[in-house]
Amino acid sequence: MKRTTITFRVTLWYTLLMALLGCVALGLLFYAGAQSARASTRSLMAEMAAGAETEFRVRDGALEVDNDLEAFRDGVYLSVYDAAGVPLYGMVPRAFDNAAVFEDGVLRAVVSSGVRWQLYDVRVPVEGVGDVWVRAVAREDTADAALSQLEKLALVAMPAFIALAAAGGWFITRRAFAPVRRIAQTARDIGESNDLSRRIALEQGRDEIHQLAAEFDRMFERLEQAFENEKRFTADASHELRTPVAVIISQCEYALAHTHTEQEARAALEDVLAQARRMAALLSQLLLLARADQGRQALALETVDLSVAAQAVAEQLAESAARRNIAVHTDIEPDVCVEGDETLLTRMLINLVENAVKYGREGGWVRVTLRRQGEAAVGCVADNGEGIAPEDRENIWKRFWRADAARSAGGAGLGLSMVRWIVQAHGGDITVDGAPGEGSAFTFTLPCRRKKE
Amino acid sequence: MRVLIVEDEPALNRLLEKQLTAAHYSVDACLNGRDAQDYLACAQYDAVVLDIMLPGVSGLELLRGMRGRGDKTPVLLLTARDSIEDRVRGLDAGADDYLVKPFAFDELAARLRVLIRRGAGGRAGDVITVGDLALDTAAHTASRAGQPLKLSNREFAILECLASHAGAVVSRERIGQCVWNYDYEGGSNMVDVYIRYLRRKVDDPFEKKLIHTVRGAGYTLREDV
Repeated sequence: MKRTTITFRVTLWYTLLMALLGCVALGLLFYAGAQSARASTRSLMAEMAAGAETEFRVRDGALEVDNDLEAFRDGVYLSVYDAAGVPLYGMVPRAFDNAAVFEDGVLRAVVSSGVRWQLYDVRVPVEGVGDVWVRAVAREDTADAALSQLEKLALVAMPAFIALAAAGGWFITRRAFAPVRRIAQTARDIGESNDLSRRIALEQGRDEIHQLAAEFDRMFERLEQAFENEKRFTADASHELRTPVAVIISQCEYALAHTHTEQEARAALEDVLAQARRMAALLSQLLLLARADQGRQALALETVDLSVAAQAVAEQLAESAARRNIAVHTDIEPDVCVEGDETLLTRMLINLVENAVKYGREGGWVRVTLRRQGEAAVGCVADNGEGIAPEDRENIWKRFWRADAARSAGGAGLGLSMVRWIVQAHGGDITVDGAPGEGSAFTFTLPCRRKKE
Repeated sequence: MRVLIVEDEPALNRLLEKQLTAAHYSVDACLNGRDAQDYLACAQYDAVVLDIMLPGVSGLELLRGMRGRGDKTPVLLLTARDSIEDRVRGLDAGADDYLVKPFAFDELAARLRVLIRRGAGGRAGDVITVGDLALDTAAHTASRAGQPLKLSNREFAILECLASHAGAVVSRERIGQCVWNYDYEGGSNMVDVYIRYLRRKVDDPFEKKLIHTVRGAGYTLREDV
């Protein structure tokens, strides 16, 4: 059974159930019908036998039976005998041998000529004549004859009904399961062809199976997206790593072939070291994001004074901002604390301010603000730099994404993905505003206390 | 303080990592000798917890290799065998201490503290003092001029790193390695920002400054300028 389809199993079950139900119902019906028919025959026999007495008269010492006495009614034969068993009146069926001995008031069955008969005798004492026997006989299957016609009809009709039910059940179940077969087929196709763009695409429907199919389609959508991201991510990551490796290799080759003084060798080594550090930083950022993706990056929770952190980060980065002639302003409400991972929150602030300085306008400004708003800390890092095109608003959070592919000098494009992950890991939210040419403003909201999970 | 765990039994490895992390160490953990060699080549640790029985490169080979390179990082050997011969072989190979399995974690933690303070120039106890600054490395508390300092875990770790090399210049990378394990690359800006956090708490309320920047080299913690 385990290997058959649900359609088959359901149809089989209904067919068997139908057959069983039909048999039981018909059987009960026939049984009850036969019982009641026999019972009425028996009571008719008793009634006729008992009623015979009233038609007896004695004339000249001989018994006279009134002609009114019905000798045959509804399959019951009535006959009258004297004490010696000589027939006086009435009749018996031709096939009945009438050999049975009289027994008073006992209803019994006898077999004669291969037919079962019901027999009922009554002894009637008649004054002046002695005992008179009245015998009622009826074929046992008198009542069954009508029923057997029905039986024959049922034997033909029942299988027909069952076959019809089976076929109907099969058809409906098969139709109902057609979407399931389509889902299975699509999944198989995707597995075989690795083509994640395929969809089940059932027409709209509100039943469970259509919902399931729609859910599967959404899952395929997400899977395709995830695979796409993965592919792009791998390509980007290897590209980002290849660049410093290429520099390291060429520096080493050059240094081995051409440096003659220790000073030249030192310069080459410093360059190699800088590239190696860049790789190391990139690798650990990737590792952090990978762990975050798998949900394995645990937060080391402490109470973090975000005001102190924002102030320190702003002061720290003011030095590198000054090199681009960018002023860093702060407007920070004191003692805004959140429960969070100090290092990650610091990293978030550093990334945001670094980003603002990097894309800020030469001679412009970067403003860091922080406020407490109810139960949340709301911070903003704004600049008056080149801003972000509206169509790129979502892209900036993507890994390795850069507004301008040519600006490969600063960072690998992981900074903002990390920022967003850190904010979200703390149960917060971050948005970006601003128009191209007018600068941009990143606003983050962090709950002061973590929600209980 | 940064610790490397080399233990091939995954359950014990995870447990040690968890417990040492809870004890405020920054921990890297690996399951075999070859990985351990890579970790040791890339970062400087304050102590190594090393299992003798390892697949591939054995604990003793790893230890001899370290000492052969002149790496003096304190090593605490974990051994399942209790024979004198084994312990002698381990100590001869360059181990600083050993612990026989099974062991109580508290004892491991105490022995690690001893190894780390010996490695940091032979302090007498768990308390490091620099001027009027006192750091209790066992209790993880700090105070200056008798006033307790409220430091976050990372702040304490950086201060401990500076204090255990008091008077010497500690590079930003060394500080970073001291505090963050490989999962948590800080970057030089991160260290600088943390030094700002520390200065606010350790130096700003007091007249005498203890944390000094050494331009182009790193930071130093010392009493006199």
